Amino acid sequence: MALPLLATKLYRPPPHPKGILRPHLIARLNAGLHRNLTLLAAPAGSGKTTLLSQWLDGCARPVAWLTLDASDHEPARFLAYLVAALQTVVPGFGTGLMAALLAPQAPTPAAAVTDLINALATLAQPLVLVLDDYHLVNAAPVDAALSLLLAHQPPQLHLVIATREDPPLPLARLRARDQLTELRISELRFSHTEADALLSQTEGLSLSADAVAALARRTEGWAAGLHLAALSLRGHQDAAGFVHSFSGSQRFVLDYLLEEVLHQQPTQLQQFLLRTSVLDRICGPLCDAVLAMPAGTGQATLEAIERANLFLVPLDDKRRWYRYHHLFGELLRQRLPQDVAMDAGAIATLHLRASGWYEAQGLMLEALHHAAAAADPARVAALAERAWAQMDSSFQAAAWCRWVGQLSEEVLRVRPVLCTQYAWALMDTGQTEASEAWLRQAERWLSAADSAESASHDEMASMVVVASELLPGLAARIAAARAYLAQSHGDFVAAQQYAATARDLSAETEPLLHAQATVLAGVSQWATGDLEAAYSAFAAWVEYTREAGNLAFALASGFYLAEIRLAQGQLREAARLYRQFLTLVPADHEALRMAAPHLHLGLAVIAHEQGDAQAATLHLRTSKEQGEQAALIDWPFRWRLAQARIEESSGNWEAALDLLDAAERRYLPNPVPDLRPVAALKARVYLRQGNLLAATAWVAACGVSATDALSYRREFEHLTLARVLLAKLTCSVIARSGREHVASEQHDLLDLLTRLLAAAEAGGRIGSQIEILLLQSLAHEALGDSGQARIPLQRALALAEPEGYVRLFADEGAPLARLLERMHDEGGRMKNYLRLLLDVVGKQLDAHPSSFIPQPLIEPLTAREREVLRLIAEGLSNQELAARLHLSPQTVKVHTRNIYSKLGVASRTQAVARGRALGFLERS
Amino acid sequence: MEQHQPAGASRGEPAVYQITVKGQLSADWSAWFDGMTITRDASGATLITGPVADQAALHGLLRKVRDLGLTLLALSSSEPINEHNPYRSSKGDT
Repeated sequence: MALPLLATKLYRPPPHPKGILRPHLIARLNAGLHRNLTLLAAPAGSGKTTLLSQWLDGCARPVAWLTLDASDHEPARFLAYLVAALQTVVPGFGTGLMAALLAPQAPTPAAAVTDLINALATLAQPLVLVLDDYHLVNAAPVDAALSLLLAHQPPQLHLVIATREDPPLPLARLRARDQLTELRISELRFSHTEADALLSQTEGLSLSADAVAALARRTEGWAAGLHLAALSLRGHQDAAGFVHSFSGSQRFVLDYLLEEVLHQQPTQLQQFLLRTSVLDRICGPLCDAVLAMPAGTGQATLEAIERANLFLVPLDDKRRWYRYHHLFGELLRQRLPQDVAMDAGAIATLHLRASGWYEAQGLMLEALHHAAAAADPARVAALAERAWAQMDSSFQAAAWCRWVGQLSEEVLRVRPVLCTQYAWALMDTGQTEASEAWLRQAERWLSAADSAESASHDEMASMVVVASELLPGLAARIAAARAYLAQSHGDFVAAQQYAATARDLSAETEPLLHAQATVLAGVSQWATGDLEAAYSAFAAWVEYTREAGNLAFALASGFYLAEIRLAQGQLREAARLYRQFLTLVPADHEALRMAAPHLHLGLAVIAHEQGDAQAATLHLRTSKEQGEQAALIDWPFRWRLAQARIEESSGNWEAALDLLDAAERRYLPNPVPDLRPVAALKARVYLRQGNLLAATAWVAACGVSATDALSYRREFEHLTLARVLLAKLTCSVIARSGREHVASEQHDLLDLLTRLLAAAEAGGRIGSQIEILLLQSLAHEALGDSGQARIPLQRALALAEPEGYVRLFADEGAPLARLLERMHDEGGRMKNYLRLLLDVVGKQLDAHPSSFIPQPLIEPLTAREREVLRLIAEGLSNQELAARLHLSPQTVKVHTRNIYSKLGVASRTQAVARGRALGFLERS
Repeated sequence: MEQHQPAGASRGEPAVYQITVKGQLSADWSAWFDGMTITRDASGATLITGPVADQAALHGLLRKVRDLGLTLLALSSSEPINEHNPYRSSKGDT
């Protein structure tokens, strides 16, 4: 993928060949390299960039340079440029991160910065990263991202920020820790000696010491002022006279000097400078277009300006793109309207010509910028309508959305194509309500056109369509947008209806939209549990993308085909699909780069489920190695889920919970249904930990109940609820709670499981059926009915054996192992499979004793006992405890003895560990 | 921030602000500063005076001062005390 990033922003301006050296400042900058941050905070034109380019030209470390502008206020864009800058010195740096940042739904800034920090920490060599013109960003989210980077800055990175105002970063903290080098205006001012060197060496002027002193005083050592003064002196016969009148004037230094310098230039050049000042970036052909000059004039003029040292900054090393020094540009722009020929209309014409040139180059963002600067909303709207497809498929949808968002409602309303595009863009950024409102506007025109006779002719005449080729497909696109919006609201019935409409309307005319609508229908069928229909829809999409030659799409979608089979419990078929898509193209094929980490993850999860730990580890490692290079956007999320699953099976509860937390932070909403919410996955780990409190808290937070109507989308949550109910029932039985109490719990659980089983059977989901049958078996066993427990277990085994399920049984730990053992001892058809399952359980209990499932507490700790336990965890002795709680040492002993007995432990250390596992103490 | 908004601005009546910068600017700069009046004071400094719609507009003006490298000397507001509420301070604290 070609990056739509401007290379000119990454170009480090070379030091001026005749620039005067400032060794004392360079020494300070070098001395600061061991600190985290160098900050150059000083006014415009004080020589920050010049000093930096001079310093870094002789700096031994590799230097990444990024010139910021106002459009870098989005964290994703800012970070993408930051990574691109680092790639100029470390080829291949953070390619996975870059891909994620450029994707339509970028990761959160915190997640991206964490990845950035990790990538930086692996670098063998330290480097310098310069952020020039940081004041132009002016956005709190970017400041926050940068603060995060500074807080965890790896030693490989030295950051340099040049800005006109102090950035809102934790500067005071950095100062206090000696992690900050600051150069401010007092350091950057030119001394008399330096002013002398500048005027005599650089400009070859011979001035008296008095004159130099007068200029340095009048400009207060301001670099831009001295530079302009030198330029002015170049055209003056009477240097002393100029210095005298300049010194005597009270006018603003730059105002005075610019006038001098401009007036010394030929009229044509003056006009060129003033008119091209409306451009942020300048190149020869663009100047030709804006000034309506013969081709080649612009380039020649720019080169002449550069030779004359008139504040022209090169943006590349090919002498193609330039910009004026910001300050000089501001002064020129201020003067432009004072030119007699330049009224508002004439200035707008300059912008319109620039807009036209950029449009012809396909640079739509700049074309839009100048159309807006020309105050021509109709042109902005027309450009936007034509540019949408191109900008939507690249990284510029957000910028497109901003320009369109600035149009007035009157302009937008009459443009059905633009309304639809805007709705689509808003939908992509999650602004569903606004999206629907604009869809309605677009639909109004379509229905008016349908009933053309009744609609007033005048009204239809006010409709504006620029990209008329898009009009016929508009109804289909609107329906597809409505399907997407309904899907994201969880209205799957409506989503399927809209998707069907979109398919019908696009069947012959728009193959891409047709395929998109089909897969959209498939996504909602998936969410509603119609897995076979979803499979067909995805299979059609894979076929379409393959035929269209988009193998990267085909492989990525192939992953979902396998996921659907996995949801059906067809482990072997899912594994076959993952492998098939991994081998569809040669291993080094570009199309495989994004999808392969996902496909390996799928294989790892299946190998794990089938008890093949070695293969699981291998696939997981391959996925990680490749995924760190490049991956689909939700890979960081899915990788952590898979890793958590394996830690959970090994009884590493804390590690599993940490990974689930990390996964949750990386979750990005997308139309593919999230059928196993992280919160429910965490609740299951709590249960395995014996932390019934936390699991019960999840039930409350999640709002599931045993009497809910069932749906496939919440099946996993209801199954998790069944597990919580089972754990509670086990406790009640052991605690010999009242018969009535147990009976009601028992009824709730068994009824829920019966209903879940019926739903899973109807939906053809083998994996769910096995899990439900196991829970039924465990419930009967807990109630002391071993005979009843056998029946569902036998059914579960019969379903599981052909697919090779192992983990589903092994992870239930000791209670199920006892049942399996009994069944094995009785012999029978399943003997070999049972032996295999018992081997895995046995090995696991040997290797990870902690994975023995602890029983939840039968008798809860009292508030006082929890307090005592907390103080024990703080390391207080019994004596100290007694003093702290104003109790007698004897009473404390009683409390601790009760705590030990309730927790089933024999020492303080064990009590603390168990207390943590049960959630009475903060996780360490 | 809500509580720092001048009382006048919050009622839709722009407050009059005066920015004092070092050095003399000609009246040509008026358009650049969104039509503010450019005058000089006795000390040779420039006064940029005029109605400012709200705090965002004021910060926009200050940014222009910053981007020209002008030295900012003073900033004052002629915000009148609210007639109906003489106890309200001129800073517009609410």
